[in-house]
Amino acid sequence: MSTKIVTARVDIPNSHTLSVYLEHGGYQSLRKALLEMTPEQVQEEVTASGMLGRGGAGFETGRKWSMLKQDLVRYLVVNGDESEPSTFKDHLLVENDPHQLVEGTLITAYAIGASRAFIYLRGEFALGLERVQSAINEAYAYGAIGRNIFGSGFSVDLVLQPGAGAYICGEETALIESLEGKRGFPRIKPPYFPAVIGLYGAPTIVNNVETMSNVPWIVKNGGQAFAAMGKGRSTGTRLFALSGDVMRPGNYELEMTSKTFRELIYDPDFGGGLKEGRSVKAVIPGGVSAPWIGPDNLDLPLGQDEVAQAGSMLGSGSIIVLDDHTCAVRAAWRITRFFNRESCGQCTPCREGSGWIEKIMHRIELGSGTESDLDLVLDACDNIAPGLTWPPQQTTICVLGPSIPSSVVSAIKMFRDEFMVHIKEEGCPFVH
Amino acid sequence: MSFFNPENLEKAQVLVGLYPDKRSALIPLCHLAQSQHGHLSKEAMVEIAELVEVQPAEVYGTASFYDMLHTEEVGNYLVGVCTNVACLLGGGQELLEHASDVLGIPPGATTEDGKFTLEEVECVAHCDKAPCAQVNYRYFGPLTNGDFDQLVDDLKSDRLSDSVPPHGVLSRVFRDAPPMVPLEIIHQERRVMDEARKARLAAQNPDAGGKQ
Amino acid sequence: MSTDESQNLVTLSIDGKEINAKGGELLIEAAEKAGVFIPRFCYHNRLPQVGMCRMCLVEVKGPRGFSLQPSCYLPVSEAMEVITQSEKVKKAQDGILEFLLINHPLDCPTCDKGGECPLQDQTLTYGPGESRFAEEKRHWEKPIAISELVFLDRERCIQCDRCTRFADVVAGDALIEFIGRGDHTEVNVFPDRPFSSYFSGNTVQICPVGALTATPYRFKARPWDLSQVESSCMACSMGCRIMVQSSQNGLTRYLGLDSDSVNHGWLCDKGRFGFEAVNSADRES
Repeated sequence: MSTKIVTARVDIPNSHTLSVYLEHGGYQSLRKALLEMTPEQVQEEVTASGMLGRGGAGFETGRKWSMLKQDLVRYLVVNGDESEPSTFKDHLLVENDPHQLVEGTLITAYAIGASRAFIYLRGEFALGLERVQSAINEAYAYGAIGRNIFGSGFSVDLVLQPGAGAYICGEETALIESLEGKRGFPRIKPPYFPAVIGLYGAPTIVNNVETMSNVPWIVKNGGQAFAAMGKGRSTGTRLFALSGDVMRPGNYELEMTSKTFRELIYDPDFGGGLKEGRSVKAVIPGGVSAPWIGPDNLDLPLGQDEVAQAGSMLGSGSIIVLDDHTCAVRAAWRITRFFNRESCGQCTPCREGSGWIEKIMHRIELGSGTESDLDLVLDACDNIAPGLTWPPQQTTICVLGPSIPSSVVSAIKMFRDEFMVHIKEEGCPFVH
Repeated sequence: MSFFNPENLEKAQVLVGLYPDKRSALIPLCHLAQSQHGHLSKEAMVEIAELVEVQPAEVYGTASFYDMLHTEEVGNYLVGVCTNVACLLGGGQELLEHASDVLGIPPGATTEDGKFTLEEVECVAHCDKAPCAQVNYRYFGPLTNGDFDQLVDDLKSDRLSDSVPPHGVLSRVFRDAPPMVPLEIIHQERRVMDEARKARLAAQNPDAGGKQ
Repeated sequence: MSTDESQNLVTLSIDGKEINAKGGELLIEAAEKAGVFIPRFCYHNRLPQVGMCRMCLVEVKGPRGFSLQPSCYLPVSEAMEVITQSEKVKKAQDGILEFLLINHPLDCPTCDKGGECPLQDQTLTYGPGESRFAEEKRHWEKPIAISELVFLDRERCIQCDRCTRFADVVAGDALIEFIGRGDHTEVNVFPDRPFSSYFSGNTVQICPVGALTATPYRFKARPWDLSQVESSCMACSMGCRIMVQSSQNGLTRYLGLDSDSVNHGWLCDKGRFGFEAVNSADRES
């Protein structure tokens, strides 16, 4: 069994409480960082770890921190607005190890010299919100947050911010707008990074929950130990959220690149395979914004660059398996419906295009589409993501726009015959 | 005339004090209002506007952006059935149709007795338990039609009042911490630490002075 | 031109032609001064730019080659390379117009904006000519009064944020706001709190479609029938520059004119709508 970092404690009873956390070495890393290390040394360890951000974009964490403009006022914001369909890793971490998240956040606040730290958590995580707020309350009482933490002379406050139900707030600039009490409209770029202009216009680091949850381990064991796991740019472990047509869906923490898609899906310790007699039709890696991959790619290792080279992305680390009894048209249509419902409405191509594309896909699935609808829907997609390339270009403000075509283009490319059956037989041939 | 009751008004003032800009408390205050009143009434929005010093239209504009903030009345139990991909593959669409039959209302509607509101929701990050649902944002799943019937029955007879509290996602736990450390103090401390570090570095390595 | 400004001049190329512009000036403005008009809806030179409508996308060269960028948002810089006339730009602009039109009613013949409507004009200039949208359009209750003076037709609205930006940033009171999300976004007021701003008429003037109309002008005239003359507003001592428009020998409308030192194109409602007194039957002299 490979090393568990972020899920080491999740199965211990009452793992969310301070007492259990302390029994298992909790807050030792914060002590070490504050009392034995300078902020620069903490940053150096994280840089040495090579950890890529665990939110979706996969940007190097250490590099992101180093880009923070050194203004007097600067903030740390943790992105816990986990809403990418079929991603449920942060859900596990906030409910079952909230102190690990709090500790990682505090260490990061120290490393970057944050004036204040915020954890923005998805509103629908009612239990997660309770647990993180309780953890923050306990940590204040324990002296790990607030004035002069552990006698180190370092002070910082940590505020939990509940979201309120909007997928787009996972986009870091929309999240910042939401944290400012506004509609979750992504900010127009440039500036490309909140590290220059972020919360209240001040330089801000936005990091994902899983990213933060890795920090205590890195401080305890050193960046080199983290970098020793995995391969290439994919260092450490990653929490893979496996769902769809597999026998054992769930979160599996694996050393990066140590397993392939096939192993994750079929290993009895992980996905446990598919239903009797069925085979993999397609896999959606990295969330529904990612292009699909076919059964011919199952031997790809679960690594950032490996998946990118196959024309998709590891993204949020979620993996949806579609078996051969699943209708590709219906799945792709449902994804377009998701984007239509979650488009923020700020810019034209996404606001209007998402609804149109959904309508065309729906009529094809229901059997009233025509062959020319395939060209039409692809052209509408092209007007959001010109060229339909991967990585995509975009006519929109944020990346939600070019995420819309991913599943449409994948499904038409991989399963054009299936679309034609829907059109010719005027209905969906699958039982559901 | 105040919308918030005295206990919640106190909480509201704590929330407003947490941020460098009061408006950041807008969404937490909307959640607080819903925990008191079930939905976000006009009166609540007007009072929130006063608390964070914006126009009521701005509270309305912000609140209406978010699915969890309801400017119309909702039932005691908000039942959200997920039909996004992972749940779709697990029968989420069929579960939603069943829920609609059992409750006798289409998605988006509230039962006549005001007990249930049914919603079709997007992925709620519970995909290993597909098809899943949330009741007042508490998880249930995987759900067969029979499980759903049982769930409705339990809710009707208030057998789940411990695991499914009423509205408001933070109704059971509230921030319990000393007042915020003023930013001036934080920045002063940072300056002191930075200077001490520079002095230490200079002492250790006199040649490299000024490099850090 | 002062020495400071001339030092700040940059040279960029637009469609292969070298032009000079002030450093930091927005590309859409610099291009227009150089005789290249880039279509736009949300951009307004007196409002903060938001880059929402995406109509002004042009190709700009970056470290990874040319990509589509909103020219209303990009400041010009030295050696910038811009293409406004490529197939790619044309397709993007056609696409944006098509997206805007799928939910926009085709009621131009009965719309007050017809004849002076940027959406109508740009559709004729750049648009595809035929609709590929076969579905039902979005529906809202036809015009609703959001104040005694202003009517709002949400079906015509293209969510450009001009009126809401004006109310928030220029008038200073965000009495109208975007409500809802995605393709159900509407502009509206808080329930029972009308758009009672002293400056509400400006939103009608800057609306790029016929979504906002003002009671005094509704169905009174067609733009091509208007005679007009430039003048100053007499409502107070401010002296705002106005365009006085008339039709069939009666005053029909005042529009604000952009005078840098006076009113930036804005008028107060008293100045804008006060002309009704001129032809009023209640007038004593």
